[in-house]
Amino acid sequence: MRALEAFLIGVVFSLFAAYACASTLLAPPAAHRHAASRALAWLLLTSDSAPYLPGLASRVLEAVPDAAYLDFNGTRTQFANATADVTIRAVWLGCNGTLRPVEVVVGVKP
Amino acid sequence: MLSPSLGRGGQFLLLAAVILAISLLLALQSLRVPRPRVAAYYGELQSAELVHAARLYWSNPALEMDRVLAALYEYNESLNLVLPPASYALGSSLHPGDSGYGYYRTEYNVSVVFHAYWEWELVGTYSKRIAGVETRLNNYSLYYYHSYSAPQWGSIVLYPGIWDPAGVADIRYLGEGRWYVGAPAGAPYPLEDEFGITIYVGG
Repeated sequence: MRALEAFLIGVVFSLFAAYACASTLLAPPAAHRHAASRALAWLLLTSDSAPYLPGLASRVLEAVPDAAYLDFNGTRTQFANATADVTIRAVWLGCNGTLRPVEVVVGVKP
Repeated sequence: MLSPSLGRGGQFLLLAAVILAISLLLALQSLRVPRPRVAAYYGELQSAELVHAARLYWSNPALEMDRVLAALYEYNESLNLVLPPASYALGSSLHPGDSGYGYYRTEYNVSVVFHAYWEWELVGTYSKRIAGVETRLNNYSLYYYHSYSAPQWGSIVLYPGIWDPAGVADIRYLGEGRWYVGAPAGAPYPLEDEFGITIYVGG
């Protein structure tokens, strides 16, 4: 009988320990984790000409408020004194019937 | 009675252990602080790249879709875009006349679709002096939109701006993709949207 009690108590504590570890060690899902990538996708969908016209930096900052920097045409535009946690890369292939690919790299704050 | 084989003390001890465990778990749950993080994610951006490639192709079909996609996949490695391997089907149609419609369509095998559609209807005629010549213009009611479909966002509809590169047509925007276009009669008249895609009205 004592053995059964000890066994059941052990089961309860094992379950507790497992749930406790899971809830503290595993990172919680962040609902906005994809927001920056989506914002850049929206910029790409709505404008073929954004990188070929002046004002790309302001358009990127408007679309991605968490942007830390923009790398474009070999120049880095720093938006904030923050270390970028994630780098999002996109390529604009061209505009108005002209194939002229350019890379746009956006660093996003943690 | 939890179990006849457990003594009363054992049953209380077990019940206490269960209550303690549940209480601690609930307390732990309420103390957890959300830690939002930005992380690399592959989805919308990749589908947007495919839509962008399709739209660029239709702005100048002489570019050839294979060449446009090859340029995109060239960056797939260097930029770590993680684009899925995609094949495509192209479709286009133009039904000219006093009323008619046309479309350009690119459908990828990864459920990403670019679709540009327009339809028009003759609503009247008028005359206008162009380069010193009295010219008869047809007044059309035009509806024009782009639809971008992808598994990540469903379907997005854009109403691109249009203009006449020749500077002859009279164009007035009514909103929600609807336009009035006064264009020379006789043949399908080309207009261009803000992405460089040519559409035709009339005929």
